[in-house]
Amino acid sequence: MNAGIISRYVGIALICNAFFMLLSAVVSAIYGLDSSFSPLLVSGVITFLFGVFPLIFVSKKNDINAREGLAIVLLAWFLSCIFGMLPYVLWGGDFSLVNAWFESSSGYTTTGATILNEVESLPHGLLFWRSSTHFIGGLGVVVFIIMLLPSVGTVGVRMTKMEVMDVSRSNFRYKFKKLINVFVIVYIAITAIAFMALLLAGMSPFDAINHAFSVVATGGFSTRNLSIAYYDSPLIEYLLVFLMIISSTHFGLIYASFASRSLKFFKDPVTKFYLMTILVSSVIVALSLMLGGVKEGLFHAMRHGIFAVASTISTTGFAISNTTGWPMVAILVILYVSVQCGCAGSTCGGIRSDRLWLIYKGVRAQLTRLAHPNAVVQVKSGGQVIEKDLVHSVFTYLFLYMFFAFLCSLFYSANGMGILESVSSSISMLSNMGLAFGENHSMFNFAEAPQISKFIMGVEMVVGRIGIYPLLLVFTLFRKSVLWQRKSI
Amino acid sequence: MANLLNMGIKRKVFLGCVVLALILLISSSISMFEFTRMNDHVTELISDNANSIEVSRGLLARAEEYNLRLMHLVVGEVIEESIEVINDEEFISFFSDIRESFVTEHDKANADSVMYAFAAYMYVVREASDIWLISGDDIRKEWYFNRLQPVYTKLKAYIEKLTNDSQDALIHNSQSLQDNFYRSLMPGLVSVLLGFLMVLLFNYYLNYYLINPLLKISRGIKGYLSFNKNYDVKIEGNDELAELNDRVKDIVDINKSAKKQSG
Repeated sequence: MNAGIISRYVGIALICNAFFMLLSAVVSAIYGLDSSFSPLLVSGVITFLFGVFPLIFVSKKNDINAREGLAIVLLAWFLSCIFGMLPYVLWGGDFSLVNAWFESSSGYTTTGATILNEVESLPHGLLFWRSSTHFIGGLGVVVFIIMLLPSVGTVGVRMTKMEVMDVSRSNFRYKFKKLINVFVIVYIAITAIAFMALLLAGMSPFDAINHAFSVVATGGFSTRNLSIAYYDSPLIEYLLVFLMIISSTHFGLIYASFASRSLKFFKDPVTKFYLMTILVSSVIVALSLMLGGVKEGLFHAMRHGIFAVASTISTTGFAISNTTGWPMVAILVILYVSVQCGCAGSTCGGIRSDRLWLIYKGVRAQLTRLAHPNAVVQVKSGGQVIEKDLVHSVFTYLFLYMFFAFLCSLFYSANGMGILESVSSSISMLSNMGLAFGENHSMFNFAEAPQISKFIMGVEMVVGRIGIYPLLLVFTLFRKSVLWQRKSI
Repeated sequence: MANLLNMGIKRKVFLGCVVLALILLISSSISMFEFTRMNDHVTELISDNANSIEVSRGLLARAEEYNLRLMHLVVGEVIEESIEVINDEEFISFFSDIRESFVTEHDKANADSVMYAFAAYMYVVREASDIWLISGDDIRKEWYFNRLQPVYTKLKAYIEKLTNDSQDALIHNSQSLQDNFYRSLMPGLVSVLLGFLMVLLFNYYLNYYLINPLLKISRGIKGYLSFNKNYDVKIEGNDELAELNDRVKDIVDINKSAKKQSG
């Protein structure tokens, strides 16, 4: 494994981060050189120097092996989170090392959970930096590296496969390079539309750009303590519901629908399954809120229900109401959608609807096989036959996801968190959603969580963003490498 | 970026050193800035608390001294026909200045309470000269215990409260200073750690990309000269080392042809 070539590509990722730090410093300068100017400037310079350092010594190489590709992806994510801590640590305030790690991981992984009691007391530059971490993380640190590469070789292909999962691509076929372009175009287009729409709906330009960054990345950081509840505007809420749903569907599918001016978007079985889940879950949550006496009137209950479901399933994490005192039915439905999450090929995290769709298909095929032992039953989705290996890997992924979430919730419980708080926080962090229940309800922050739990939550967020398979693959590959070296000795 | 890749060794090492120096400069600047800021903060905080305690103590001592003097005159054997009233203007102007230095509303309210209690005390004290002039021993005693003593007790209580609050604030400030000390250490520590990491990286790059190729060339030449092995060293990149390797290959080829011709 060539450490030099790894450091080179990780360096490019750091340069991208430095660009956004310096951009945040410019925002700080626009708002009268607020207290975040020098921390952002210094952080930007340090990160840039670190990023450019490997480029001085290591020359370009287009062919990398799987192990190097994996190391680049993992290091790019972890180092982005670590260097992203710099503006927070240098600024001070509530940001101790652990708090800065939590906030930075939460930003890059687009989780949106925070440790801040008073978000509004942050200077504009730092608020913009928080939202920028969502923007960088949403597109994927690795996509930034690929965008900067002079030619897309095996480096890009290997890294993109880890960054943009494509379980279901039945309705469009794009080559790798085109897929990256499509991803970037749709991402920027949604950001621009979100900015304009929120601006017209009554947000200030600063709030609109920050919330646009947040919604396109399905992040959840807000510039207000009360999140979206601050605006108390049904128009803004329904706009955000639409944007959150769009941002959590396959970008390739959106592009294909626009490019061919067709209804491919609604024909895709996974998208249909995803939209149906939102509709059914919203109705159940709204009815339980209305019948439970938490919200009066169907319209009011529906407004809160649909926002909570869209915010959770898209892993955004915006809030318009405090979930404390919500009926258990509503909480369980929201917990379910926080596991299912949006579609692959979007910016959301979690298991994703594609996998759950395949699980549903796999279970149905298995039941058919049991009923008709001699029948040849294949798993199909959108007319395409799904390989058995893919279905098996999805089942394994589900098991690993649940097991990892269970381990983390066990750890949080051992550190003094309640059962509802531990389980919901663990699922929330692993799905990069950001909302939890119990004492960690939607209007709460994680400032008072135990230090060690906050650190582990940060790690859980990064694992959730990168995916469990790549992480386990690293251990497998490195174990093999060590065993091979031992044998050769 | 393309220019960066085509740099010579001299330029690469120079740029590497520049980057390293910049990181170290930033690290040390951050450390010094944080240290100076912390130092100023500590000095200011301690000075404020010390001033507040000093004033409270001075006021209490002065009131106590005056009160004792009055009590001594009332119950003592020495009988004076007149008494000198203390000059309170000096205290009031001094205390007003100090009051301005209080930051919290709680401290300012405490200081106001002391001022009002002192004004009430002085109002009663000013009656002393008349009492001494026109009254007898019993009236003086009655005045002292029923008029002066209650306002004195009240003043003393407020001064003690101010002193206690100032001491509590000092304790609280020293605790928050410990937290702030940890906080102010972090940026310096982080930047120094980054500088250290950069030094390690620099060492790695120098070894891997500059020294290792030289050693490879050296081993290749040694192998050719000592054991007549083929010179097949490959050097990545297109800097002076790659050029040197190509020249060595040329020389080895020339040498081989010369050997063949001579043999």
